[in-house]
Amino acid sequence: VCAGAVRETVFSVPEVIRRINADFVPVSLAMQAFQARSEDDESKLLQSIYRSKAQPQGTCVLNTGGQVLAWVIMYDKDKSVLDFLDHGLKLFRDHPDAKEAIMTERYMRFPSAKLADVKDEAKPQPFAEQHPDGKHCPGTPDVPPGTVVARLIGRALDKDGKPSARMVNQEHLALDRFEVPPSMQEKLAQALADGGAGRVVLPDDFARLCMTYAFLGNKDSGPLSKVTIFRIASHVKQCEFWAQRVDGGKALWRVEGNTDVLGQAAATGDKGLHHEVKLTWEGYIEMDGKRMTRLLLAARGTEKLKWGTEALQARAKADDEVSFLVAGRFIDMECGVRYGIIGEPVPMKKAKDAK
Amino acid sequence: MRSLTVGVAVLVCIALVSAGWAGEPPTPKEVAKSPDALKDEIEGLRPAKLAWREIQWKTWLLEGLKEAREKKKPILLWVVGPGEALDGRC
Repeated sequence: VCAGAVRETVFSVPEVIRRINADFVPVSLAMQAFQARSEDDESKLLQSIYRSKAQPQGTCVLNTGGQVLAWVIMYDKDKSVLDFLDHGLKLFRDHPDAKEAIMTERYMRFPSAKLADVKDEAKPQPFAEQHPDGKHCPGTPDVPPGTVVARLIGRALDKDGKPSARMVNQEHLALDRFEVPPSMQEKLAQALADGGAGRVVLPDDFARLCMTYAFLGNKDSGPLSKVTIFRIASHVKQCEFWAQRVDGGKALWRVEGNTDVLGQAAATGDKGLHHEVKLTWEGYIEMDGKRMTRLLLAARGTEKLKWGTEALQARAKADDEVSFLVAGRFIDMECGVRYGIIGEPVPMKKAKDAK
Repeated sequence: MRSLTVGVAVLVCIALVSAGWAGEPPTPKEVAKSPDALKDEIEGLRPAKLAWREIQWKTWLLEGLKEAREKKKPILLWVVGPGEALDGRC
């Protein structure tokens, strides 16, 4: 929720974008990158950065030696974002490198809600400029060989049935990624082989996988999301995919399907969820033996999403959204939707060495 | 004779209906798109530009530190949860 809100309300603002590109070197990393327990210099540096964090997610300013000058989670007002950037530049002028220990500033909300400072020791220099030999880059997903990586695009439709021109918030534009593991591909291949030339019902877990990712909104708002901040009661009304071999295509299968799912969660603090997605699917699966070589799926339908409580809605009227990023943004929408999924086997050079 | 008349009438009706169908453009439901056409349709959903992508993010800290030293600039590090904040759902 938080990262999505930051992306939408902080890093999509033109003046913020301009200032960051002009005055900083922007880096984005998933929190998993900081949790590796290796003993190489890069892992130690990542661990030392994360040690002073105020929350598992957040934004910080580093000097050229990798010391953390300041962490921030939220901001008092929209203008406070630019003030934080100015503050980070001032701290950098005072401590441009890691030759001496410094005190890391931490803000739950900048500038009014400051937490206790944390000492960040001097760091040995210079750092390596490459990952150690054989080490997976912590900034890229770790994918087993043979996996099909599927990219999903979802768009809310406007009143004329065209994709909405609004493309900052995730309730208008969904971008996602999921994996079809080799074991699921093998199960799919077996089902297709057993079906011969007739119409084949595809395995439930494959249909459910595609349905799980086809929704608008933040990652916690999916009708089938397995989130930890609150439990979602999911009701799958329909989830059926069929395939039929395409004439003349030895390994090409045309796919059709219908899915209909509802997810609901009782209000917890500012949160609360009601999410319905009903879709009709079409597409193709291309196989080579037990392996999927291409996945193309398109879906059309309707979606109804309500995220957050009335209290969150009221708060949005009184305060800038940057002041409550952790709660996300109140959403109440109902519209037509379209989805597309394109999946291809991960290139071997990007796949994790299974050995 | 009556059965012949009825038979001709049925054939005429079928011919007229067929002609009508032939004159209408096929709907997506009636004619399956080719894989390439479907892929183009899916790619067409992808926005040409994403606001947050206008920031020149790096996804490798060591590379960022190298550039920071060369340009004498601080790093702005965005730590995100599971998922892909730049090109995915978050």
